[in-house]
Amino acid sequence: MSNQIAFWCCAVLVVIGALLTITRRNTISAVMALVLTFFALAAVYTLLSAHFLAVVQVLVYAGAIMTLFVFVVMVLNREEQEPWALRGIVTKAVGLGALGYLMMRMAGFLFTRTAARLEAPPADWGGVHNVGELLFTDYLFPFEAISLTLLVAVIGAVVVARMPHPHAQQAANSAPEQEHAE
Amino acid sequence: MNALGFDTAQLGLAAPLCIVSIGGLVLLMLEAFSRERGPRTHLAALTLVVLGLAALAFVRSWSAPPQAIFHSMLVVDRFSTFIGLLILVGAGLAVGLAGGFMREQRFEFGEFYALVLLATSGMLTLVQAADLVSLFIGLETMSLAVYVLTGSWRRNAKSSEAAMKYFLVGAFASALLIYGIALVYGVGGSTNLAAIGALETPEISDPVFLIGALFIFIALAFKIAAVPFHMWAPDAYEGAPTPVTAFMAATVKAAGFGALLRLVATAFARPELTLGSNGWVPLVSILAIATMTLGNVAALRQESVKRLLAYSSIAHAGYLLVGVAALGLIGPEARGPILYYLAAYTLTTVGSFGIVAWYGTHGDERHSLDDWAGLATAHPAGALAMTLLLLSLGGIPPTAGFFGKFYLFKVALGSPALLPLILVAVANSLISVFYYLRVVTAMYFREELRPVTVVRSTGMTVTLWIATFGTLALGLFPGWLVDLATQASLFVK
Repeated sequence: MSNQIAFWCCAVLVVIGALLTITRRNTISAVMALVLTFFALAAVYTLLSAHFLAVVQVLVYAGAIMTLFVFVVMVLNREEQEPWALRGIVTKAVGLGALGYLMMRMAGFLFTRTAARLEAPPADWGGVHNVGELLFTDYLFPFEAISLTLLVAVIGAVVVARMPHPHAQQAANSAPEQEHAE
Repeated sequence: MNALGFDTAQLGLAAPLCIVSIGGLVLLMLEAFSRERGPRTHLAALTLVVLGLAALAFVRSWSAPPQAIFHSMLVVDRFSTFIGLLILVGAGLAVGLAGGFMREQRFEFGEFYALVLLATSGMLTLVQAADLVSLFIGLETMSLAVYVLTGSWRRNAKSSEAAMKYFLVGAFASALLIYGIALVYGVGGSTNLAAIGALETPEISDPVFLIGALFIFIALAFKIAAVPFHMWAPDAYEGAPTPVTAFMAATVKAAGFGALLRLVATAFARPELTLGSNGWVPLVSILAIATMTLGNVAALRQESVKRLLAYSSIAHAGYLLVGVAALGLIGPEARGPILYYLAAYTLTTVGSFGIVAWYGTHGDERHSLDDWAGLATAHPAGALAMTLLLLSLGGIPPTAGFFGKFYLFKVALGSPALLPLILVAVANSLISVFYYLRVVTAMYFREELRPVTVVRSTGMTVTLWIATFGTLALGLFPGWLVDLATQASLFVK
């Protein structure tokens, strides 16, 4: 029972945080609301006995990634923008209607079902040991393959963000003149 | 067996994937540690060598029995080998085009080739995936690399815009995919495709499972640019540097169809999930009709040849979806024509976008239809090649595109329920001939408005000849490829 109360508190916090994230006009407020969502989500993970996941969630998302977000927001220092403009109100209404319908139907299905597995998982389930063992046996291939994905992301960021090389720039600047000379 | 829990001999079966991935990393290091700032021809050559080695490894594994490897994360069978080879060919041709184009437009950078290889390794993972986890990782590796390639022409604002649109829509599709996987896993308790396929009635009729499956479908529909999930495609195809467009249109679509075909043949193969109100066949049929019709009708109004080809590539996804619907109604024999069609489509698409890349010079890309006027007098060979490729796209003999359509529709006629779909497809093929011929008439029957200028690059010329001759050869001698495609229809299960 106490688990249920804890779950509902966390779940409501997750949703409130997410709603604030997409409706705040001030970017920093939106980012802070996202931090709330991440923490509440970590609590939900703990309730599901996924302790390792909860710790990683706090360390990586609420810690590292959010710090990065805040830095980016501060560096860019963009003007505040209205997230809820009246422009395209018809599309938004249709989208919102469809989303509401989907939510309603999903909620209908989810609330009428009984939980399939009621017995609690073993005490050490979801800990570092178990997750680590799975990562290095059954899920070794995804574990290795995703490192390639992350590498692609890093290279991609560098390629997109770096300044063109001075020599390449020079070549680009001088080339049209040569063409005219021809 | 060892501490990893699998036989290390399985690494041999994953050789193509390993070669391409390691090749990508080596190229990256070569670029990072080289002081050379000149042309990167050596990197392009090395990329072709890596792709060739991977293709050799694929050919060697052709006769091996179908096998699941790495704890059933990947599967090696003739189907994945066939599509894998197609992807390698598409990537190789795109690399052949890229060097000349990037030097001409002056944005050549070494990481390009590494990114192509890493994208290719993602595609190979995607078509060999036997588990939703590896499927997702393959899709992400491919997509991230292709977003970057799309935006790699830094001085061109359109390229950045295209990358941004593609990235946002793609991220949305990935989110849908991961959400769908979570729902399917929540009901079925496994991410393995075979295990999901073995689920029984209470689970597979569960609405949560069905919504999850639908989300996975929609995510793949985004990747193959099926209407109504195509909005990103014309802008992304038009804005990307043209060799990248060729790469995207050919290989990303082939990989997406590979994953889709495997999903419908394993995880969602049960009759309850195939036909009827919960089935994917009606869904795919609607997507096919919408995709063919919208792609072709929108292409009619285009004044830019590159954008016209982008819409035409959307329409081709529609024809291929007719094949997917046939797969559900007729069975595995419908897979052969899809594979043949993909092969014809790969060559023709790379070739036609390649000619668009070849036409024009630095700072003056010749995309508008008026720019193509009079190409035949100034450059007869180029105009002839483009005509052949356009005829193939339109499905006119004696080209590969004709035989692909003929074979696909002939097999699809095996089921009377598919007749409306085939009629729509034939009608659309007729519409498409009209806009392909607009380009041909411009090239042959109009006076040139501006002097014709083309990129002078041996790599490009050779690539274009290979693609054009390939299209013609596949149309004249389709037998051997049909045999291979039929053999490739064999599955693990």
